[in-house]
Amino acid sequence: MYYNIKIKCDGCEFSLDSCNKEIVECEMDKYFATMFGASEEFKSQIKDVEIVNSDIKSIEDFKKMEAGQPEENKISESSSVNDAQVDFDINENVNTNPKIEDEVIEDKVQNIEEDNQKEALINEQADNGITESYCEPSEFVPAVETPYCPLEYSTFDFENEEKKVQNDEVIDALFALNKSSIAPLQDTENLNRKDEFEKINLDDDSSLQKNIDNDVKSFDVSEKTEVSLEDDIVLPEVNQPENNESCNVSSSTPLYPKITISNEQISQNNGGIDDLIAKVEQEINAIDISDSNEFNKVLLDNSNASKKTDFVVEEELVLGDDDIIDVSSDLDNKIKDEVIDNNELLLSESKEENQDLINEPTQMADNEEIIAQPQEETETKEITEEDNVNLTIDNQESENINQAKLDDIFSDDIKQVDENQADENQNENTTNILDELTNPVPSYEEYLEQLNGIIKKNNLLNNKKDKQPLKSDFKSENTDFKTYLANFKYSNLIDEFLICSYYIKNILKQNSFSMKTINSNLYASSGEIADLSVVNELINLGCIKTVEVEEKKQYTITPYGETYFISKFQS
Amino acid sequence: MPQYVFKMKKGELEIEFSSDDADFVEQQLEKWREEILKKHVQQD
Repeated sequence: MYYNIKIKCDGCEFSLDSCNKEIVECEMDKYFATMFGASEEFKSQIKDVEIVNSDIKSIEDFKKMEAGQPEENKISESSSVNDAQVDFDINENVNTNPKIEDEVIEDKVQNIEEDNQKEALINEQADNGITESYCEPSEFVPAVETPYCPLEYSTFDFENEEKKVQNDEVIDALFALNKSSIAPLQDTENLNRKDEFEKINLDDDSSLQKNIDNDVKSFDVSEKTEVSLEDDIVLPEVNQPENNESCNVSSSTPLYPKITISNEQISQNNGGIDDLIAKVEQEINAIDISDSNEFNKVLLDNSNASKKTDFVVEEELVLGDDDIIDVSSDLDNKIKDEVIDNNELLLSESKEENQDLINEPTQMADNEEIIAQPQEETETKEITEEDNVNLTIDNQESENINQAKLDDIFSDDIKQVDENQADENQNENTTNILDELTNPVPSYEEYLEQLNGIIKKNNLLNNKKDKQPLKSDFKSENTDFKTYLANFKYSNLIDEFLICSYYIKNILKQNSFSMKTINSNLYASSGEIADLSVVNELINLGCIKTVEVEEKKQYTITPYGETYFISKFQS
Repeated sequence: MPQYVFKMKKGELEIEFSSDDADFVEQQLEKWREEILKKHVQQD
């Protein structure tokens, strides 16, 4: 058996391992009593046990052992809860030993007295006008630290109180010394200036102004001298413009000549510009735009001039090599001949086509223009033969014209086809209209008779086509499944099975059916027999269910199956 | 051997008790529990 107690408080940890049950019980009861404030009965029940073989008797002892201090205030574990309570109080006030505090205060007072002696020496030196021994004022400020006094140690101590009062007196004296030591630290020159300033304040404002002016002058002079001595920079003088009429731009080292522009010159210049504008306007007005020939002449002259220049350039380029000239001339002639031949061929083809079109009896009046066009093209041919200079242009034009004519011809063909189709439709319409006009309009009675006859014919046809009985007929018990099934459009055997099951329950009034009965109906109607796959699928759908009747497995349609049947086949 | 650990904490003070003596732990806890109940009854 082992027993262990660990106590943790303020970061410290106390642990007790023991094999003695009574010791552990005693310790635990003590701490429990301190923690939760046990009753007197509980306290009285705590056993008194002496710890023999243990150096650690309390938390304080444990802390001292950790710190390496000797055990001074041994508190015996003897035995009562009150002692344990005291142990805790002492533990909380470990640093509140009054002896230690007294020593600390005495040391502080000694330091203050030493500081006082130093300050007295400094003051004596200051009174003698010695300012070299200047020290920072912060050194004179004593360390104003209140002695450590914890809250628990609140008893009034006369000795410490007297020491506190002495300390306060010393501190006040030191502050007084600091104030007096400020004056000798100041600069003597500044003091003299202060005296002068006080004197000036006493005088009137004029003297004050004079003094200020003098100060400013002296300041300027000194600054100038300093600048001239330190830097060799000479600033250029800036002249303010004296006259508003002219603006003189000048500098000590001018890069450009002086420019002087007076307002008179500006006005003169402005007048010259106005004169020029007026002259231009007059010249423009003098030009007679009404005579377009002159204008065209001017344009032609300009264009000829440009052409001439181009021609000169070409000559200069071509005259360099005679062979090239010959070749180029030959090529030109060949190209011209080929163009003429092509043109003749195109003209001949167009003529043939136009003749064909003319020969057609169904030609429209537009084609007459096409017939007349070859004559014009023959004229163009004559022109091309006469003047070869404009041959290429004429050929291009003729080609374009021929192409346009061919397009027109084809488009006319297409139009003719469309017109023929339209004519056929129109003919049909006209025949209908003529028939309507020739036949007399039937009277209202005749029209009704015709309608009745049509309705009767339709009814007869329907009766022939649909031999199915009405719903009221096939819901009777006498209707067989084949006639009943003929009223429904079903697609597969599953639907047929469902219809049959509904038929058995609602028409034949049988609650259940066997596979034999349903297959006999199905076979009689459609020649098919249902197997278990169909049954299982309908069972899975919830349309039918199995029922045991006289220890035999039978099937019946479910309410869901009936609603499904109605929604699918009778809606 | 089984080990029994019991911790008490109030404020910064914490007591941890561990033992393998089941009877002792049981008695001790019972004793503390009765004491705490008594104290609460007295306060009410």
